[in-house]
Amino acid sequence: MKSKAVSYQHSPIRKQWFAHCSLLLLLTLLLSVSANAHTFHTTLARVEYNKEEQLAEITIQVFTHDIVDVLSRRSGKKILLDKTPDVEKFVLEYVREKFQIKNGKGEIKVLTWVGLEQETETTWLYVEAKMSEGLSGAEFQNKLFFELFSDQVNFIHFKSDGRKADLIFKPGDNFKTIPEKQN
Amino acid sequence: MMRRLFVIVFVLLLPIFSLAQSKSKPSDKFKQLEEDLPTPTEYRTASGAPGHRYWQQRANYTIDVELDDVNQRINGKETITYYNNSPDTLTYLWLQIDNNIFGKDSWTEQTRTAPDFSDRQSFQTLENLARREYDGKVNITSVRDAKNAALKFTVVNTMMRVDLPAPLASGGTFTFSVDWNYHINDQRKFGGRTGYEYFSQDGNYIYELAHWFPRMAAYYDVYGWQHKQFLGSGEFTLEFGNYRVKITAPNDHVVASTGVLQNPKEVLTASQMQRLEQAKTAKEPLKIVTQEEATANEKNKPTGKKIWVFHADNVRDFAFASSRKFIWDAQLHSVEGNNVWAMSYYPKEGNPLWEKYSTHAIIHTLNVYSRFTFKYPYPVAISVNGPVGGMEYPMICFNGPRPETDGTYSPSSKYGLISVVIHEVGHNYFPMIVNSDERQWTWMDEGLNTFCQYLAEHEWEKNYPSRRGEPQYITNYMESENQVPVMVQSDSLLQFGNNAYAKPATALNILRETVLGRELFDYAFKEYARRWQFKRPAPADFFRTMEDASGVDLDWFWRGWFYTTDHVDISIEKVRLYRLDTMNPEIEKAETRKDRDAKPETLADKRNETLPKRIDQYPSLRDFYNDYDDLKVTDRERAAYQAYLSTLTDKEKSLLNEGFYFYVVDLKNIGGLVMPIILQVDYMDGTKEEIRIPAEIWRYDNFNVSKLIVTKKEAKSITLDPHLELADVDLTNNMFPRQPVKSKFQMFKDSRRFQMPNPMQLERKPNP
Repeated sequence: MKSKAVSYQHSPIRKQWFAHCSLLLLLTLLLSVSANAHTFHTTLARVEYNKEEQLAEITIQVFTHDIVDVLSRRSGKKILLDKTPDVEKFVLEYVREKFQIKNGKGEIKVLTWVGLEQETETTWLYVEAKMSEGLSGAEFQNKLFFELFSDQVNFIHFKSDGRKADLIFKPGDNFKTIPEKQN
Repeated sequence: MMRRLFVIVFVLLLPIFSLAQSKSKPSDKFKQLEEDLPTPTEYRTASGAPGHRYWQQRANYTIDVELDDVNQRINGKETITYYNNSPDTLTYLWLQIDNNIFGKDSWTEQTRTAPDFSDRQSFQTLENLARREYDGKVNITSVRDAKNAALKFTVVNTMMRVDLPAPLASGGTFTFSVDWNYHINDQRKFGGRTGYEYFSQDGNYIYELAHWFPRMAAYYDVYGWQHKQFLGSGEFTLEFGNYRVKITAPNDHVVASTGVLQNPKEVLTASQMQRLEQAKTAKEPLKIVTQEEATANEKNKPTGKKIWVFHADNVRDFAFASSRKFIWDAQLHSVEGNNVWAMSYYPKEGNPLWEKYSTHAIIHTLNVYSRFTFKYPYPVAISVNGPVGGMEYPMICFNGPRPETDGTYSPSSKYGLISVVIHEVGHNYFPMIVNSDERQWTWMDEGLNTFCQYLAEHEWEKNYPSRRGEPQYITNYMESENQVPVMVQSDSLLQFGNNAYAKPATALNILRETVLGRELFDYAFKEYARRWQFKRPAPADFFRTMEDASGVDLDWFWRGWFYTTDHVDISIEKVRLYRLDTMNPEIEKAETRKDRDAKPETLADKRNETLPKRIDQYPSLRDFYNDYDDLKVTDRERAAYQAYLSTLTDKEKSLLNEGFYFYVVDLKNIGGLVMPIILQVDYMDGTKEEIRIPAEIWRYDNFNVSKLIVTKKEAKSITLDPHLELADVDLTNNMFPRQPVKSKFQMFKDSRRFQMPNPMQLERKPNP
């Protein structure tokens, strides 16, 4: 990129700030260059409670491009899911930061790594959390890729004891409780 | 496993319908869709074909454009001839100035919501934030009519209205010209479907130009003017026309463009022309510009300009790419008699992947798609590597995937490239030629194209790693509460991804494999493509055509998959077995004895065995009944049986002896979507049988149905949807007797137990 002397146009501070904010948003919105220019930004997680082993079993479906992109930015170098050594460590670190579970008492449950499966466009991430207290009253936070896209939408689909429920997370959302609706 | 419960006397060969009273109205799901679809007109018929008065507008363009490689600008002049083939009189025209999306004050920017600043931002992002001075707004410097008089025009964000000096009557034409210029966006920084990529190592640019000229907005019978703003996600539909374009570029650039090059002698070198001549009969892609030549070219500075002249007929858009970095390969390929130039343009950073796969993928796509729709009608099909990830234009597409900088590539890069080339070249068919309105109905091109892409991928190699068509992968999404039906028009993101791509593609796959079968589906699909090539279909035209050409009522399918958010969850609730009573006392009594003997002895009986009994002590207490064996066959019974037999016809006699098993399978529709039923019966003797039942079985009761299966062998288990064709979200209720079904999580975890920890480390080889 050529460097030029930068001179700001004279405009009210507020407008300048707003334009800069907007730029960041435009930037982050359009920055994704995935297999289609018709990009949509989403992840789909599935949480099932395994009563026998008292585990919350979590499967997260993400776009391969997004997880690679975010890991590469964080580490400052190009990450490849099937080549980079210790890549699973990086993924787990990222997931632990962005996908969090609190039990009914407000305690953060630790996610342990189970593995990942990469397909061309989609990557499946598998993690689990020991939760002897079950999912009742649990809260979830899902901020995956919010730092990449302002229009990121994350879904979590819950299945426990034959009951189903969904949660949606958009940038700005915090912890949410699983709805009690019977299905 | 199956216990004989009781017997019946006669044979039933028809399905038994549930006698339970259902509160739901019968046939709701099979109600005809005509009430919900638009009324047929003279422009679009009830059979889904263009009507006898079908009309569409047309716009021809003559454009002169200069690509300024020094300042990264576009300067252009165009003359547009607009044909008003509608029955209406127009007093103004709308044009699209899509590049205004990159304007500093564009609506796209203003309508953004706040980012999450609590997270770490990369330094690059913050730097760009602070240093922005780029404004991609288009400067319209002149709008004039054919006599050069100025026309009044009004720019509304990404749209421009030109007020006509006199009303344009039906059948009239209007010619006017526009001059414009703008600063091209740095695609790496600002994203988008167009822009440049700067390579700091060699100081050169790749330019990919799209929506680079003011163009006519669509005006059609369903919506009038398509004047929705371009906000970045919903796309466009445009009018067909002929383009005559002159592109002025640095004289050391190679230009890839929609259309056919008219003046090769002026812009190509002798060796390039010679190689193109050879490429006409080549069996594999041939280099027109080699990597060595392109690499050497990168060090050049241009000594002047060249004008590349391209003509394109019957296209709805025009795009081009230009760079001194391009390697160029080509092969002339015949598609059902039409000679098509399949060509790829890519920098050395795209190798070795691009020279290996791109042009082959283009040719493969043309072959497969043409079989399913129509012969590719254009003279050229190009794939360009540049900054844009994947975007389609008539005859040319931009595709981003590249290998690693060390020249190696992973399977996902390889398949990523092949898939995106197939997808983008495929878009020539939908929507470039079957010109559906992407802004209104994204699924009509994305869903149909994704479906065709899946077909092409599976003809590339066995076990091609694509999942786009497979029903089982959509179940997660369809189970969710937060869907919006595919046909509900909304800009909500909740609908966009899965609804535009995966759900419609899956639905078509199911329609093809399970509901209609390949032959019927392929015929109907081809008919749809044939009817609407170079025209603009609406969803109803697709739905109606598929039924009209296949002869199968699909309203329940369209309604379920496109108008509701129901999912598939069908359960085998119960299976009951009925056996025919042979009436032969020898057989029946022996069976009863067997059942009786098989009954377990109670604990009390066991303990009482050894207790002394009174009748043993006093034999006079014994009588007829103590020694009576009710299961001993008497002569009287034998005689009665023979008498019964003599009343039967031979046919009835043989039926009696066949030993049929009558299984009544109770099925329940839990998810809402009615689907065909596929049952696999596994017999005790190890054999199996598949039974396929059309969805119409649900027409009397949409939620509960009982199906009778008559077999000669005893069944061990019955499975619903054994090949996972139906996108059934819950497999645990698909087997009778119930079997536990592992979730994807559990299957993965189990498979990992047997793997060595970190196989990568064991196999890691040093990079070349």
